[in-house]
Amino acid sequence: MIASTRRSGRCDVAPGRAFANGTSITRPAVLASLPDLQDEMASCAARHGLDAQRIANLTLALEEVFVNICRYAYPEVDGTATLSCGCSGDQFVVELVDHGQPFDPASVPEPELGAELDARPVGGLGWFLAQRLVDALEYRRDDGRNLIRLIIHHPQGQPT
Amino acid sequence: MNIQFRDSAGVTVVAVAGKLDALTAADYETTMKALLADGKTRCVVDFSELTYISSAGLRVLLAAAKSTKAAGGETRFAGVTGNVLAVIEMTGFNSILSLHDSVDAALGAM
Repeated sequence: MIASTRRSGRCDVAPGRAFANGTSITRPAVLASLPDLQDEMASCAARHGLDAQRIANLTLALEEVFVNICRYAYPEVDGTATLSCGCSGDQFVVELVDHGQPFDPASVPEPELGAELDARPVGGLGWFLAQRLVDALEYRRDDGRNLIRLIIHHPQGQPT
Repeated sequence: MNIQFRDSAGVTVVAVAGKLDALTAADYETTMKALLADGKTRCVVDFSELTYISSAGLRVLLAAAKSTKAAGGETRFAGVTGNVLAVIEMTGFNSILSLHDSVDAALGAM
């Protein structure tokens, strides 16, 4: 199962495989792991030539998807998440893998962006924000694992 | 994240610096609830030193603004710029929150 938004380009690395010149770390799926994961990802992105704005966008998108894993993939048990990132063709890819409950992106309702203060529901913006901050956001359920990919096209700023 | 207060003619100016994320959102929520419990329902939240906000931050921002409004008060936001403004615009929060360029402008509008 693959769900993606604005998906284009190619991604020739099999899920869960190491990226060329990439990095991979595994941490407990708890909020306290977030700074470690963000720092690791930002260092890797900088090594691959991403500019500060793209790194800032990825840092925020990573929080949104990682918080989702902490809350929904492992609602009652402890678990881990593995972050891998690096270049694949002309894309910079950040991949998060967990072994928790399946996640169905199609079940996430679109936020009511136009609602007034009183009517606006509190929450439900994480997946939406992550989608907006990257060029493509992919989800796949594979062999008992959730794989989420945040993808930036042309990471070194080459024209399309 | 660091939060500081000052009073300006009956309005509480809440200066929030650093990151408002999944790790710090509870601190913001606790702070704003304490202000409300203390009867301080007219607030200007100064975000000029805020560098990062995520959906966890937006959630507590919205919850606190609703609570203050329900108590007959109001919350205005000042100095929202850069990536924080981008996220607020992306999520449509700019149309439901009162945003001002500066704390003085927000105070003037109370």
